[in-house]
Amino acid sequence: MNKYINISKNFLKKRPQDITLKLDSEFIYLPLSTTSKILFNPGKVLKKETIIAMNSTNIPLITPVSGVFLGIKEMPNYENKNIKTLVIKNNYKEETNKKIASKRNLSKYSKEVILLIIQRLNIKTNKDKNLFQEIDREPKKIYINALCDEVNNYNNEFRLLHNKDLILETISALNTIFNLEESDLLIKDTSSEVISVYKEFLGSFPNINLHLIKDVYPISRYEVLSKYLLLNNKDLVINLEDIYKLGYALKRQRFVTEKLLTISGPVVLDPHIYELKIGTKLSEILNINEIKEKYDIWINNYLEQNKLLMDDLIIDDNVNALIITDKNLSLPKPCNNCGICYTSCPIGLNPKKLDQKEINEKCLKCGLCSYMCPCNILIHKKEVEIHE
Amino acid sequence: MNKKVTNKDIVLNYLFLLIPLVLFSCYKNGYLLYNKNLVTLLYVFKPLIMFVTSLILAFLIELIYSNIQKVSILKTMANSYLPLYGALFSLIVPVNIHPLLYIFLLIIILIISKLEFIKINPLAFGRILFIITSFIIGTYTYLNVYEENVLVSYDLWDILLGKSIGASGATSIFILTIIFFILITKNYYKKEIALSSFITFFLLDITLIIITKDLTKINLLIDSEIVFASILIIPLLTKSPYTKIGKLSYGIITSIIGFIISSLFLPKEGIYIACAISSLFIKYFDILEDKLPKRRLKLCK
Ligand code: SF4
Ligand code: SF4
Repeated sequence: MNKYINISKNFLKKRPQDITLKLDSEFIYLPLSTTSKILFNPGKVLKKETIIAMNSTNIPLITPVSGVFLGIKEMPNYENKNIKTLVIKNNYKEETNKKIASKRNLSKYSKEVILLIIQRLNIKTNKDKNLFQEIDREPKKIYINALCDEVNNYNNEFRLLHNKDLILETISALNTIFNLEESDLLIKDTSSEVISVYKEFLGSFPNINLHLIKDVYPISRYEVLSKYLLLNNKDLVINLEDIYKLGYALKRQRFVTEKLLTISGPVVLDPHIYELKIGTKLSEILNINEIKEKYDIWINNYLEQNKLLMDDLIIDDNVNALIITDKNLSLPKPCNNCGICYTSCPIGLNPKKLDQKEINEKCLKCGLCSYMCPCNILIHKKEVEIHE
Repeated sequence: MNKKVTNKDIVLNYLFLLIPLVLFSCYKNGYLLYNKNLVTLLYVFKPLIMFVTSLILAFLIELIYSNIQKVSILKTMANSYLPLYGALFSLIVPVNIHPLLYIFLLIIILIISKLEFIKINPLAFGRILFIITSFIIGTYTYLNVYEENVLVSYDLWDILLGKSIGASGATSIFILTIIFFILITKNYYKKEIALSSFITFFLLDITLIIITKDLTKINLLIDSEIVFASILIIPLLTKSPYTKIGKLSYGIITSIIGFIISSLFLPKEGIYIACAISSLFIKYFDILEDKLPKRRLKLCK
């Protein structure tokens, strides 16, 4: 346990009160993969949940609102890179072809249907493996990863509290359909409210265990978690949000078109969790310029040091939190060879050798080495040359 | 559980840990002699005065440096290791060192450690400078006033509790062991170096005793100077290798060289001379790890 770092002590934690709905974006920008085929021409009025594009592996791109398809526009993504997006102007009618449906018992689904939906939703397991292939290979156990690395990110906590029934029912259905003896729901040992709520309800789900995990960084990464839990290849780890998407698709027979976004951080007095349409432009919910003058905004995680550079950021599946901190004015000092970065790396890499391709490929980009460096060197970003 | 530490935290932690050694030195080299009417009351506090002087000089040198570089002294001090080097130096010279010689040597090692292109361990270098200068002026001794005047013979308990002959702050193996056990809980302490150097020295000494059948050779090992150097000087945070293989090999090789010098020529100085030599090659110790990259990466999978 000595190897892991508890970062929460160094950060002010303030919890949002409740989820704030913000579903009225004027424009929606859907990131388009390079292999996708667009199925409509610009100008077409589309209903909500229409498949607007399909990629080479038959993963559909769904419209989260009804409105006019305006065409393609380049917009910045979570890596501050411009990518192609499909632009839809919201007509606020929320028209859809889908009937409102609700399946009573998810365990009644056949294995084939579940596998098809898992494939359509492109759900991954154990770091980028396809769940629909892995779950068909008789896994021993599944672990639902409801851990959140970032101290100020509350998405999973709120998802667990607001969608408890759907989440538990979905896990239980997976256990039944795929003949699993049991599944573990992994929750941080510091999430006291979630723990007390789930302890009360898990009595009705004997094949789901509540598994409390130390609140250390970066425990939610598969590479670290699998070492910590001593997982083998037959154990599958599935992210909580994917379980929610799967459950939603099974229960309501439609796709999730909204997502949660935490806006929080040590300097935020009034942290929020927003429920937004996937593809919303950040500037529609936040006055970025005003904030950027005084503070730094970090995408997803302060430690990763992925700073928000462009105001037009698109909130897609990869953007889960915005962490706002004071501007860091301390300049890096020359490396003093203390080796703290190396002893801190959760997977034993030498961060000073990240310029070597094979080491860089294994790096989780978790930023722990840079965070721990007493000389403030952003080693994992390689922004500063390390002088020895 | 590890947590983030700044350079200031590291230096302050070390300084706090060194205080018991300073106080013990005041007791052993001051109070006990004062009781025998051998020294004045001021002399009782000489180790403490040397310790504080080193901190003041470290500050003054950083002040001059920050004025030259036109940077804030507060920022410079927050990341400065000079107070630590200074404080450690005050503990590795004998208490009866001439004050002017002490200040002269202190200034030299502080300046040397400020010059980043000089890679040598400044404390080991300082100790060598002390040997040379005190040999030249004919004052080379680690005996305090009492030890100089009577023929002393310390038994094992005396040695462990610190009543042995040695540098100002380097006599109490007991306090040093406590410091070591505190330091190994810190993520910034290079414990691999400390352990590998001490264990190597231990094994070499045992081998020597077995070969020569001379039990007095155990004195080489239970000399508190070896323990002090293994715990605080060889693993000096900023002047030692940082990779695992580098740290282990550095500790082992320094000890081997140190043992040879100690057993053949200078029992108290061997480990410092070895440390000065091997600190010149820190970079190469770290490169050693590159020779085994595949094995290491497999472990990380
Ligand atoms: S080297 Fe990579 S994996 Fe290791 S701490 Fe740094 S960012 Fe994380
Ligand atoms: S990069 Fe930072 S943590 Fe790593 S050895 Fe250098 S100073 Fe220490």
